Parts: sequence; C-alpha cells; structure tokens
Amino acid sequence: MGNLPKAEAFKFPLDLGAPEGSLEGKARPVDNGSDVLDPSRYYSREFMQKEWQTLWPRVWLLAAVTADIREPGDYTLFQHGHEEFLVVRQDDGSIKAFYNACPHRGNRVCQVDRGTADSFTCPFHSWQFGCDGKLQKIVDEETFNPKLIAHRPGLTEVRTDTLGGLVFVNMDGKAPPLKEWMGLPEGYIEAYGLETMNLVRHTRSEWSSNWKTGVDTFYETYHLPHIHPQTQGSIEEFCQIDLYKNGFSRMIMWFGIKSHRHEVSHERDLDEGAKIFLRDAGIDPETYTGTVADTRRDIQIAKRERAQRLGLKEWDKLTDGQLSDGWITGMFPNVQMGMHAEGVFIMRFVPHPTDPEKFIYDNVLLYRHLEEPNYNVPTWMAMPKDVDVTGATRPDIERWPADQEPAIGPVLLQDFELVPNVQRGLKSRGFKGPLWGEQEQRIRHFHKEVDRYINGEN
Amino acid sequence: MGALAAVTRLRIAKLSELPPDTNRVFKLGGTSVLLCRTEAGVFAVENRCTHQLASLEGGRMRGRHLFCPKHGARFDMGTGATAGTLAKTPIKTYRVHIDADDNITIDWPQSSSPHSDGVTDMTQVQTSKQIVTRFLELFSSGAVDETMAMMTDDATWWVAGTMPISGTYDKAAFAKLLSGVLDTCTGPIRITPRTFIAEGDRVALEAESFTQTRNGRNYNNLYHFVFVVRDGKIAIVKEYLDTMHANAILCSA
Ligand code: FES
Ligand code: FES
Ligand SMILES: [Fe+2]
Repeated sequence: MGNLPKAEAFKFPLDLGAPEGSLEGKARPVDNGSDVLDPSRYYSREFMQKEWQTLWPRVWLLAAVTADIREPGDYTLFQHGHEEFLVVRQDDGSIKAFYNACPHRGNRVCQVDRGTADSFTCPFHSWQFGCDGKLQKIVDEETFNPKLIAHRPGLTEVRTDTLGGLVFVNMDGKAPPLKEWMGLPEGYIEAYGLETMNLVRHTRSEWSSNWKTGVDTFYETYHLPHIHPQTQGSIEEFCQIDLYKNGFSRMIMWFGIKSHRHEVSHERDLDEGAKIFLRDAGIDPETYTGTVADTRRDIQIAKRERAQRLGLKEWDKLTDGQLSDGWITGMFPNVQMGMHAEGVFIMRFVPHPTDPEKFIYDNVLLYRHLEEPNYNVPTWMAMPKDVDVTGATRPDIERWPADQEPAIGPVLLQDFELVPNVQRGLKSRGFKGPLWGEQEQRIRHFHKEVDRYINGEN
Repeated sequence: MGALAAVTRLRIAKLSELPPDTNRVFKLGGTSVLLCRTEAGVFAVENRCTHQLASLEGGRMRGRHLFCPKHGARFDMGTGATAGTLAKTPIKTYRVHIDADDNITIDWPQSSSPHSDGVTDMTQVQTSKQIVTRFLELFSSGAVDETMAMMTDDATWWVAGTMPISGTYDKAAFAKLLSGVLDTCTGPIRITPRTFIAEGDRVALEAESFTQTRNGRNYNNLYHFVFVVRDGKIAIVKEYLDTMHANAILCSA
C-alpha cells in the first residue's frame, strides 16, 4: 500500500471508508453550529456549582474497572470532586457502590485505595458495615436513643451498572439505563475485552486548569505538530472524527506512520518513532524494506500474523485498523479512552473538590498479558521499567505533590505544562471565547452536551 | 549453655496445621504472632496493626499481602512494609523456616523478652508452655509420627514405678511402646493438661488422661509430668502416674 496521498492531497476530514454502521464506520455529521461560548465556564464558581447541581448527579460516572474488583469482598474507592464512593464486589458476583461517608458523623469509612475485606469499620468510633453496606455493629449501642438508630443506618447506596469491564455510578439514580445512555455504537467497548486485561499502571496528578480545559486538550489532534513535535514522524494528526449521541465522540488516529506534513528527504527515511512502532509489531526496522507510506499497513499485517500464531482470539474481533490505530474515545462527560488492541488507556478528568481551576488527571493503563517472550507492552505506552505487567500485583496509585512534575512520560508532560497557560488566557478580559475549528469539533460536541445539562434540558 | 544468641529458633507448628490461605495466632511471651500461609509462602508477623493496633487475625491475604480486617491497611508480610497512608509504620516480621519434616520455625529475637535482664525469661517460659501444649495436643490426636517429630532426636521418656513398662525409653523405643499401647485401645489417649508451672526450658504440669481399651475398660489416669524443651521440641519427659491403675488396665490388656 505505497499509495498514500501526497501532503497537498491529504485532506481533512479523513474518512477511512469503512462501511456505515460498522464500529469503524464514519458517523453521520452533526451540526453543532458555530457559537462562541462564554469562557466563564472554565473558571467561575457559579458554573462549577451548576455542574454539581445539574450535571454530575445526572450522568453515569466511570467509577472503576472490574479488573480491580474480581473477587467477592474486593473493593476500590472512587473520588469525584468532594464526593467519594466505595465500590464493592458482592458475594453473588454483583457490584454495589456506596457513598464513603459514615452515617454516624460523616467520617470517611474506607480510607485505603483498594483491597479486599469481609466488612468495613469506620476508624472514628468503629461502627461496622457489611460489604452490602448494611449496619453490622454500633459500639456501645445502649448509649444511643433507640429512636435515633431505629432505621439501622447503613452506608448510602448509589446506583451502579457495568459495561464491558467498566463500572459506573449514577448519583441521582434517574439516568437512563447505562447501555441506553452510552452514546457509543453497540459493542464498541466490549470488542476490546477489557475484562481480560489487568490494570498495570495507575497515575494521579493534579493539573492547574478546569477539568473541561483538560478534556478540550485531549479531544483534538490539531495541537500535535506544535505541542508534541516529536510525534510527527510516527503519528498522523489528521484523523477520522465521529460524533455520537449524548456527547460521546471518537477520533481514529493513525499510529506508526509519519504525519502527512512531515517532510522526509527519502521515502525510506524512517523516523525513530516509526521504528519503535515497527519493532513493537515484531518487524525489524533495520531489514524493513517498506517506505514511509507502508508502515501502518505492514504493522497491521505483522500484528494479524502474530495474533494468529499466538492464538490471540480477542483480536479476531478487531479490524485491521484497530490493530494499528488508536481509537480515541470520548465518554461524556469526563473520560477519554485510548482503545488499542494490546491495551486501553483510560484518562479521567476529575473535578477538583473545591477549586474550579484545578482538576485531577487520573490515568489508568489496562493491558492484556500474554506468556510470550516476544510480546510486551507497546513502547509508546511509556511503562516504567520493572513494572509487573502479568497482573500478579496490582500496582499502587502513583501520586505527586501538586508542585512536582508527574512522571507520566514526555508527551503527557507537554500537555501538563500547556494546560495552566491555556487556563490563564481563558480568564483574560481580552479573551472572548474559544473559536473551535473542524479538527476541534469533538470539543464543541462535548460542550453542547454539557450545556444541555446546565440548562436543564437533560 | 553458651552465650545468648540474638535470635532463637522457635518451632511453632507443622505446616499441615496451617491450611493454605489461612492465618493463625500464636502467643509467644507477651507477643501475639500471626502465622500466615498463602501461595506466596509462610509468613510470620506481629499480630498488631500499626494503624489502630487491631488484631490482624482473620485478615484477608493476597500473595505477600495481608489486609488488616479493621480498616484495610495493607502490609507486605515479608518486609512488614505498609501501602497507602493509613498505617505509617511497618509491622514487625519474623523470618520463617520450614524444615524437611514440614516443621515451621521462626527466628525469635531474644532481646524482645520483657525480662532479658536475667531474672526470668518470660518469653522462654511462655514459649515452653506453648510447645508442651502443642505436644500434648498432637499426642492426644493419636498421630504417632507427628508426635515423635516434635521430640528431639536424642529425647528420652521416663515412666515412673516398677511396672513392666516402667523405665527410660529413647525416642525409637518410646515410639514402639506408644504404638503398642495404642493398638490395644479403641482411640487415642487424650491427655488434658490441668495446671502448668514453667521456668526457663522446664515445664511441670498436672494432667488427666482418658481412653478405652479394646476389651472394654476405661483408662483414666492422673499425672505429674516434667518436660524439658529444646529448640522448640521436647527433649526430656518424666511421667509420674498411678502405676497400679496403669498396670491393671494397660499391661493386662
Ligand atoms: S463517624 Fe463513623 S463511627 Fe463515628
Ligand atoms: S487498625 Fe488496622 S487498618 Fe486500622
Ligand atoms: Fe496533547
């Protein structure tokens, strides 16, 4: 496939030409207009309050991955702003979630990130609760007015649902069923088999911007050649963009092939980044005979061949495109997932408990381990050395003090440094509101949906 | 006796007494030790969470990790290291050895004795008592091999009096005697300890036994035992008993 269009012919928007209605197929265009939105949404406390009234309680929030709670009694905490939830696998295999607030005096009942337990004891006065949230014990119960505790106060339950290895909670309990609410095409998440992956890295850092500034940054590839120039030789920034219902969206990014605007003096001049992608697919770049235009296709062929050799059934369901490309998937409101055959990157843009100009960037890497010496975590996933990826040990969350650079790899660090600068300008008297182009249409789609909640339409 | 070593090896249990994925408390001196077994191995830790000092007994385990059953603090059972921010201090751990006969021993720090100034070694006393208690439990179960495994190779057993079975036995001879006596009984000889007096490696106790012989008679004796303990095992036993009753029931069976 050496017939990649020349730079001048390479046009946005990209359409991969997959059949309409297929997972890869181009979605019908959505007209989100061209209004310029008031930038106060990025910093005002009023807007933050509105989000807490009409957005966060009404949506499904990604709370956990099932890889973290496989056995009965396994639990994990999920923080969202000032709220926190305790997500617990039940004896019957179902999942329940509770507000992590003691009915006695409000203390956080569970204070460890995750674990496995028969019951939960509040550290303040040792009231005890079952994995089902029910009250089990009040210390010195005879010293309480029986009327006060007649309702046997347990942990307050919150509605949960799961889809393809992901666990969600809905605070007000009134959202449509998760499957209905989920704007992605049917079977989209399930195709990757997240349940069979292990969580191999979890980082959590504090970024200096509104959570939506964070979402905006990761929702477009327009900034790639400028903020991440090192990716030019191995990633195409023009992508297929698909807008789905309920604020969901996707962009298909070509990995392992040079950008159309990246100039090479010879068509065999492979960039170091492209060589890494080739190597990850089992191709030796030193003996590789293809041109800069062939790499994506050859990576697909090599991966398909290897999957067959290794009996990797999960990949049978994936198209060739899914083997080489990143399906960067926006789950409204605050999640983006980089879907790849080998693993999935989940980023959550979690609102700060009190400050509209900060968010928590929570980044989880799921990876399917194979007992195969020639198969490893793709290099671009930037796993630190010596991390156990077999799933035997679930790594602890890596955290950094607010004033310290997080060790999240050079590319994400570029975004980390970018974001406070954007946040600052958004607040300027001189800034009149974002002017989003077509490469940024996912951002507009997202904000339009936010506004439907803020205006009480959803 | 030579100079005190920094650690002494204490035999605590047989591997078979600690099923996989369980943990069990042993009292050693004033210290409660939790012996834990998972697919990652056998571990011994001080049975006290460094968060709010709860017992760790019954805490769930995964690999090398133990979760405090109270608030879930997680500890590495090999190193004692904590994870997360709840418990700030590691828990104490003890090195575990398992010998070819599946005896679990741990390295016990002698300096942790509350009376290491030479007055009374309480740790040793409690430990000796516990070893004798375990020994009598094994004896009462009728498992001859396990019982013998808890005796030192040069152990001796002396039976008081002038009965045909009175006298001093070495380990092999005593094993034979015990098997022979058990063959005439319908079940094990259960020995229930009543009171203990212990000093250093010596334990004295009163006890009562019960079993039935195959010819339908009850054997129910009263004893005074003296045990000497060494390296977590029984080295010397002296058995004072009602010899007339023993002779009548056991030697005529
Ligand atoms: S606040 Fe939880 S027991 Fe008092
Ligand atoms: S007492 Fe063990 S975690 Fe609190
Ligand atoms: Fe970026």
